[in-house]
Amino acid sequence: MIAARQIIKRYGSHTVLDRANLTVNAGECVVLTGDNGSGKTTLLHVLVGLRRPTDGEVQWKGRVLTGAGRRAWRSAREAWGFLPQQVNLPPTAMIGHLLRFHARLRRRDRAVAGHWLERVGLKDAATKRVAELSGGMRQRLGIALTFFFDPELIVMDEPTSNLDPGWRTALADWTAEQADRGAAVLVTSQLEESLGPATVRRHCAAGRVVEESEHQQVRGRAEDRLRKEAEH
Amino acid sequence: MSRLAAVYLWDLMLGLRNRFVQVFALASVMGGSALLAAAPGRETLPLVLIQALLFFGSLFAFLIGWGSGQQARNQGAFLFAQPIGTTELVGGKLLGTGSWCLVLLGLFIGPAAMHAGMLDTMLPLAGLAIGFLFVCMLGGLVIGLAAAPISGLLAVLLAWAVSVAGWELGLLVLSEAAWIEHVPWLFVTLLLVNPAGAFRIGAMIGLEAVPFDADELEAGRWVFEHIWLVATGIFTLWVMALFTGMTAWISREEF
Repeated sequence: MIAARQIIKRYGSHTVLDRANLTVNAGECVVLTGDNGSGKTTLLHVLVGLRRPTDGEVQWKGRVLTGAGRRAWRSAREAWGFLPQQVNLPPTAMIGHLLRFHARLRRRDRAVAGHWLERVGLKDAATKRVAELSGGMRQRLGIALTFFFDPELIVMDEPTSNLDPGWRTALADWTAEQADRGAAVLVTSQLEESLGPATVRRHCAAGRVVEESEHQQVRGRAEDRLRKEAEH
Repeated sequence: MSRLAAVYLWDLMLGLRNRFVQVFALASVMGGSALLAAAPGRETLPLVLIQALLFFGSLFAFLIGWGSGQQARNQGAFLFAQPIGTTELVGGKLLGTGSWCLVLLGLFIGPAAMHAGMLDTMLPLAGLAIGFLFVCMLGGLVIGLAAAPISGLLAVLLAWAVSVAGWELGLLVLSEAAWIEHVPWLFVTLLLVNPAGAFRIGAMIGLEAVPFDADELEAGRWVFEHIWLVATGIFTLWVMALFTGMTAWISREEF
């Protein structure tokens, strides 16, 4: 459904992504793990069109978006829900107004968005201002705004940050629910076990994306080598 | 509902809670009333209002536009990943913030306009002020969205100081230079290329409060005879240039 092909992203002489490849299919949930600075967020931003790759291409439903016009990107964005690492919302805005704005942007009924507000436990917060919400509540609001319009692709960058264990479990359930209805889901997480229902795991390291099993083998070999060195 | 309308209504709503709009609304009502009370005579009121709009109105417009642009930028990835075209985003913000500028202008010149016999005088001034303040507000919006390498607020104050205060004072100094008499077209061009100059000249001639001796400026005779048309054209060109430049320049791909 969405694919990154041979993505290279450089900032000056620093290469963040080095021919990274990643595919997420419909109904699939991909968890992208990796250390800080491994390029996870950059790869997500390249995929959703917030970063321009130095080289390589992004494909959505077989169509190349890289270098395509704004109309093509906007058309794709209509089907995407993106939750960034930092959910920055105007602090003076009221939750109800924010919901109405996003419902209008997505051309959906406000009641549908309201239903998701209830699911994330913010039913009574409609008259509150964003500034009055805690970090976790803002994160849940961001999740509601990402999920409410049944997107075909859901991309979430560290969605479990600020969430209590109970809400992490709920997020894992909602994510599985979205994948079950056919959405392609891509999640980055440093907490590898936080999203149980994930079906596919990928690891981002040194600007490349590798399969988790491959990553485990490499890590195992490195640990063996270190252990042997320590023994000698 | 179109997405342009959605952004417009959203910006209108945010404006209601914007600290600049709130403070400036109060300042507009108080300033307009104070000028009305303090003006030495009714006939001097329009001139005082022109000066106030030229320097303070433009500063308010710059700051409101900047605040709106900065608010969009602060939302960063979350806003720019939404399916909004750049034209819809900038256009909606422009209309939303512009509506608030219009409200503030009404609050500022309202007391004078309602004063007996002043409505006819105020209407032409309001027309020019809308165009001028719209350009200033758009300038602020550009700076707010662009996130200049220096502090956004400093950039706004610098832009205002250069385009309004500095330009006006510079022209005042230039008008005293002997050589400028030999190149009147240059002086007229410098006067009118800046929306602040277009507003001042347009307002003064429209109000006929300050006689402008156009006869000495051959190159500008036609311009001064049709100053309303020229001023409107200048405002329109500036808005189009800033709007087109901004929508073409803003790339959500590096937000």
